[in-house]
Amino acid sequence: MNVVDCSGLTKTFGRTTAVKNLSFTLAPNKITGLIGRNGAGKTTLLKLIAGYLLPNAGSIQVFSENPFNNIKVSANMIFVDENMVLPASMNLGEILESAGRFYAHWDHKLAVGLFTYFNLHPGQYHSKLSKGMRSAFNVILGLAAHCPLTIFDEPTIGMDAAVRKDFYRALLKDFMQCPRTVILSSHLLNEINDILDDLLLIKDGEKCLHMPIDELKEYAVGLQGKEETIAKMAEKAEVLHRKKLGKDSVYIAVRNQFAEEELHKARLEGVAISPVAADDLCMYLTARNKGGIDDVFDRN
Amino acid sequence: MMSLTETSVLAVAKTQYHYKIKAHAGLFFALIAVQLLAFFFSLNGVGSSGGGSQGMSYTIKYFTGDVIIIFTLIWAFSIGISMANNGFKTDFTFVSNRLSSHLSSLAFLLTAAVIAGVTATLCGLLLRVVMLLSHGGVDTGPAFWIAPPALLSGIFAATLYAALLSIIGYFIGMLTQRHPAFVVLLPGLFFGTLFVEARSTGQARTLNSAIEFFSTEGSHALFALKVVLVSAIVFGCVILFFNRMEVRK
Amino acid sequence: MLLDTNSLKPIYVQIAEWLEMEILNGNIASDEKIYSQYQLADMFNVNPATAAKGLNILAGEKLLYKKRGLGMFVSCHARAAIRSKRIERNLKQLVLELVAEAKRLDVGRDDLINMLIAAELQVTEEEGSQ
Repeated sequence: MNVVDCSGLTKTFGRTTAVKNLSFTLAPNKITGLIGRNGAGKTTLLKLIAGYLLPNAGSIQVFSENPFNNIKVSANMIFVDENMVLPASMNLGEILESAGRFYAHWDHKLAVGLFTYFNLHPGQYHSKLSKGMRSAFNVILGLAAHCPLTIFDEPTIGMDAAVRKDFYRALLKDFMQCPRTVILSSHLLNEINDILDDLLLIKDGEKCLHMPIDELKEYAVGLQGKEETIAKMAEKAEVLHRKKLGKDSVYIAVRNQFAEEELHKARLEGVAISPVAADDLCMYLTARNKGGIDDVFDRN
Repeated sequence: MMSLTETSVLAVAKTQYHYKIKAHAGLFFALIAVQLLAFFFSLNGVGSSGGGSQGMSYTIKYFTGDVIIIFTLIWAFSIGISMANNGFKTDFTFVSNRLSSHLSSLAFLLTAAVIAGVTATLCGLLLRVVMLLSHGGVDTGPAFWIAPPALLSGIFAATLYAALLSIIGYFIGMLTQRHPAFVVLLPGLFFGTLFVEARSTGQARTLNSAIEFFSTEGSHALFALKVVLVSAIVFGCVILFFNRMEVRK
Repeated sequence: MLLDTNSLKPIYVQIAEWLEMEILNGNIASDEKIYSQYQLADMFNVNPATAAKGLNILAGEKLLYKKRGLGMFVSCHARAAIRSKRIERNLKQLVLELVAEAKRLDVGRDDLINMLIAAELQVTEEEGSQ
């Protein structure tokens, strides 16, 4: 059984289409990274999955049910983002206590452990926390709830690098102890890359790529060398990005459709072959034009 | 896969109710403040008349707990609005759907109405005692003492009024959630009607007849029935109109 | 041990290679239990599915064998097989690239061989001094 099953999902706000004809499924017990630029429709998609919003067209199923206004889906799901509304009159200790009553699999030991580790105090108030600390508290709720579907929408906003690292590791360790379906949206793919099973890349509300993260590394390759050599290779593969270097040298990122021997031959011809970092690949795939920002400056 | 939790709307609403009581404890401090304020206003009396002849003069001062009740009802109305505006946002952070959110809000408002009804009535009682002591009145007369059944029926009526107003407040709050235009539209409509009626007939007929519908009811049972029915209809409308609203924080 | 995220090699290949090194230098003996996917995931801070993929590469090459309910164990011929595989794939590839670079830089055959001998001496010396 799939945990999430969308087909032709569309959501518009007034004239803007935030999610456009999206179809995909999420299998259980995987960590999926939802990647896209600002305004690509990540949050809207997640809110559709959480059952907060109604689609304009298409269908969405979570645990084989329509998630909208659905108590069963809600009981098995937690949605963590920076706008989590928590009562201003309760301190953090009381909120943890209350949150635990909502979730059947709540892990209070984990919650308290993380709470202490991140230097939070039960007497503090959510609204008085710094942005990073607030995010830390929110992710503690998300982890300790142990929900079969756990959604993190840009959970690390405001956290410093060390806390982000700790969070990702905590997520991975807790995930191994208690496997569940996790959706993690972010635009810092490099940081979360290694802990993901799958990647879902969206651009302008549409699906751009959905594949196991392990295959992403082989999806594209960077070639750098003399213009004519590169041009010959470029004919055989889809070019994702191009950048001129020096006098007659050029760098291209292409889909890796080459055989091992072809790459080997190219290497002997002086072509430098490099991996395309997942982050860069996503940037190239979601770019609006091939040359990137350079095009703006090269026009004159 | 992890086993899915089966739950019911009522079970969730119950958890939410406890959560709401804790989360909105501050509203009860506001109630105390409002009632204290009303109490001090009432100490001056609502009116007086006097006269004198042959070297003697007298003053009659009227004291009443009405101000306390009115202030309490305004509080009830405003917590209804605040529940509609903020309550659901905290609900949807954890497990919730619209129905469980409405039901837990209703339970919270009814609890608040009982507390408001009891405290407002007792506050009125306190006012009498303070008046008695401060004016050194020894002749209290039989009318001063309120019989327990009358006290209970006072609490009962105040509670019902508070419940009704908080539910109406909740409905109005929900309307403004649905569309922000209602924030302007509703007060405009209310005061507009008052104004137009006052100009044409010299009195606010609609409001008066609405108040009379409840306040002139002689029978306790019928009064209760009226309030419960109207509350039920308003709350039914809440569920009917606002059960498929999207959650936007 | 940290993974090289800038390498062209996918993470699971790097994990497989790391395991091969562990077997090659005798840290895990024949018929000894190898790390589980969860231990590897924890060590390398990667998704357990990625770690499993690394193990499966070795299992696919029969360097590991499965005991039902107990996990994966190192095959008796694993060490020898890894050695010959590395010579065949890595070393030959490296030599090929070495020769190509020498050509590009116009370094003659004799000079290249002399450089190799010098390098060999240096490595032996360094090992001796440790």
